[in-house]
Amino acid sequence: MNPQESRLFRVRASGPLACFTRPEFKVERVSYEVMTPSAARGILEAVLWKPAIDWYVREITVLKPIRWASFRRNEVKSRLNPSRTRPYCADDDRTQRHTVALRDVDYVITASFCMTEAAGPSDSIPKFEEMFERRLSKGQHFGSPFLGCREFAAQVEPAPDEVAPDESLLVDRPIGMMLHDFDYGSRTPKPQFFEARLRNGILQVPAWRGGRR
Amino acid sequence: MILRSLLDFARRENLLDDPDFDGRGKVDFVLRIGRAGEFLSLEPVERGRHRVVPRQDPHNNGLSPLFMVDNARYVLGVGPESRAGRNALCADAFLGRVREVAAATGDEGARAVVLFLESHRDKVLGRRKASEWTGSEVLAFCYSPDETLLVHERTLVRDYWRVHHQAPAEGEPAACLVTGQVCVPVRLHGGIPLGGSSARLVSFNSDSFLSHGLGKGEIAPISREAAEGYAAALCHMLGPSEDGKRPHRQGLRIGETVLVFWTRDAHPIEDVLSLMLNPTSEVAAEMQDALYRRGREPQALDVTPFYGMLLSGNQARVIVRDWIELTAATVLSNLRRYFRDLHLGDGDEQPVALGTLLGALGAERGKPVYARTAAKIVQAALCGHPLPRQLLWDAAYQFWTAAQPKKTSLSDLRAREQMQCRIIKAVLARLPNPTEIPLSLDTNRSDLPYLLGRLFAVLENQQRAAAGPSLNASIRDRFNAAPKTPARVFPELLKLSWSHDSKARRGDLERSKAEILAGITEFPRRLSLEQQGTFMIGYYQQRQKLYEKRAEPATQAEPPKETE
Repeated sequence: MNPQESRLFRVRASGPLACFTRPEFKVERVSYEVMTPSAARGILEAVLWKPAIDWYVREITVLKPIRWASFRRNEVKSRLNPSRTRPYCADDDRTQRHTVALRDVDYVITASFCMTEAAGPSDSIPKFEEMFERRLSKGQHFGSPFLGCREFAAQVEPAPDEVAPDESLLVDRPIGMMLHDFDYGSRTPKPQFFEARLRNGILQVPAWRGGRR
Repeated sequence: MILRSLLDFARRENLLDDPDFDGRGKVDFVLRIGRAGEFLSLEPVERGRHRVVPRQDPHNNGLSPLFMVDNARYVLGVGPESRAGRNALCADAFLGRVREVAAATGDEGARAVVLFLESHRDKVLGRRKASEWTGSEVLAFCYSPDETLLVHERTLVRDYWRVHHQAPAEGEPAACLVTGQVCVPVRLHGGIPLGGSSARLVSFNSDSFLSHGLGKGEIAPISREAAEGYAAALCHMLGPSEDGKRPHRQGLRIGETVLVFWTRDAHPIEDVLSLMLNPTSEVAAEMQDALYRRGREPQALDVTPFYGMLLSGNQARVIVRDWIELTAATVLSNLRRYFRDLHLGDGDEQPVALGTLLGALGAERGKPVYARTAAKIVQAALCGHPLPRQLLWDAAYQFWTAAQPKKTSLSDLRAREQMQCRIIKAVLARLPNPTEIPLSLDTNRSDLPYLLGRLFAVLENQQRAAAGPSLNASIRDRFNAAPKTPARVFPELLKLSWSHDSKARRGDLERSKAEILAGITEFPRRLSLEQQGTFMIGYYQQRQKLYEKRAEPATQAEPPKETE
């Protein structure tokens, strides 16, 4: 264990709908079967993030069986340029896009954080550990945590010790290549992938090999 | 897992041996031409025989001549025209392309083809008239000094195609998200024949679909092999079946969507979905064995993965509407459960065709509601989900209230009614709080809606016995609200039944009525939709029983007494 690394936290995130979009099916969304480490990091950062810390996701445990939901939505078609001066009416710019999402999801994220170079002299690991525990138990967050897409809000709470994956998940199931996260080190972010396997309901996330910010 | 499993399928079926040529291509006619391009013969290729053809995208909506092997509209300029002059444009475009090939390679076969296209096209029409061509027959050329080698298989032409098919790789290498290999990702993926013309499964055809400043090849890096692989797999599954009977080899067309399905290793279950569409075919008969006889339960060890994908085409994109990933054993047991849920009556369990089911609901082919409902039913059957509750409403409405279509024979009517009751039973059995329905009349069942339905059938029979053949309106017509609001309807019905009984004097009906009434404690004010379904099944089963009794010699009916 890195002395600069915090202890492991277990955070439970659940919600009625989730869509962890596959990059290849970004237009007509299709979700991955399981939460991506990138989405897990997003949830953790919604609870607590400072430039001094960097979250690293170790494991994602799936508690409920994997179920799908499909629906169509009217979405806005084009991207708005910030320097645009003409008026823009979203109602005239809609197109229908399909989404294949997950239903009734419940995950336990096991993660820890590390200090970064931006840590100041008064920043220490216990300080942020306590800050995170407080915020997690009180339900405080910087922005609403979500499950893949902003509209699918997540309920985030500390994970009790006794929760376990549903019986139907206790198999060894390959998932294929899954998005690990984006490498923001270079000028354009690069997506990184890893070979994912769901073993007894647990997705082991390999160590992150790449730069951050 | 979607693209990876498609790629594995392509590898398993040997669709990927050659990235530039497809060994299982379909060619309809071979045009044999001579040294100076003169027309020698038009040879039809027997059905089911494969030829090697260059791999290329299907036609798109514009002018898109293919390389050396194309359909009759482009090669000969025949076929019904959607716009005047289109055939001529297509023919010129194809000629232009062949000219390029001939100029670049200098191959004598290619040059002969150019000569043929320039001057001798009409000779073919002498052999087969212009009116007989549909425009979509695939034609390939054979240069006569070669016996069977097609022009595009000649060395120079083949090498030209190999060079041109592989667009030069641009961009930085990245790890492919399907295979994990580091390579230069491909920018434009292969087309899939869905939605009329060539559509793409992975495409970002507008800038607003990109993000992080990444370009088309970078946002979802996929290697060339993976892209060709999944496209070849889908084209293979969507292509017409070998015997020409089904429109897709491994796909079920449901309205505008297609359900493609495959297993990771070759498995007999791949034909199982034919049970749903067409249970009377021989294929379905074999699958029935697999379903019912091969072991009482499907082997628990049969964990071969089964994949299904519901696809539709929309604006040059292929939309994945649903993704199904199960094991073969699960699919078999789900299908068995589906057919068992639909079973009613005393006969053996038989698979029910999807078309019959939907016809009983009043949804004919061609109506939009057919496709949506059919897709939901197929998904529910395969995955073991509850059937949509809308089906319960539709079936109940069709059974109880809707006017029967005109010119329906009595036996058709009975079949429709039985199908409607089956649907009600299946929906009820698969609810989160399931209601178990007996297969035939259960006189011991004390479920209140069921008893009320039985009572209604007995009362209806009493009325019919009293009024005789000249009955204009039965109580089912006048008291249609019985399943919905029993408390308002039944007291009056019972009062009427006294008058019916005094005229009909059917002791057996009175006895049935008394037996059923003994189990009824109260008339509820309203029944929920599920309870109405149970009511209708009780009515149906009791009525069947009464028909059977009447079919026997009427020894049980007491002779009518003299009126006092």
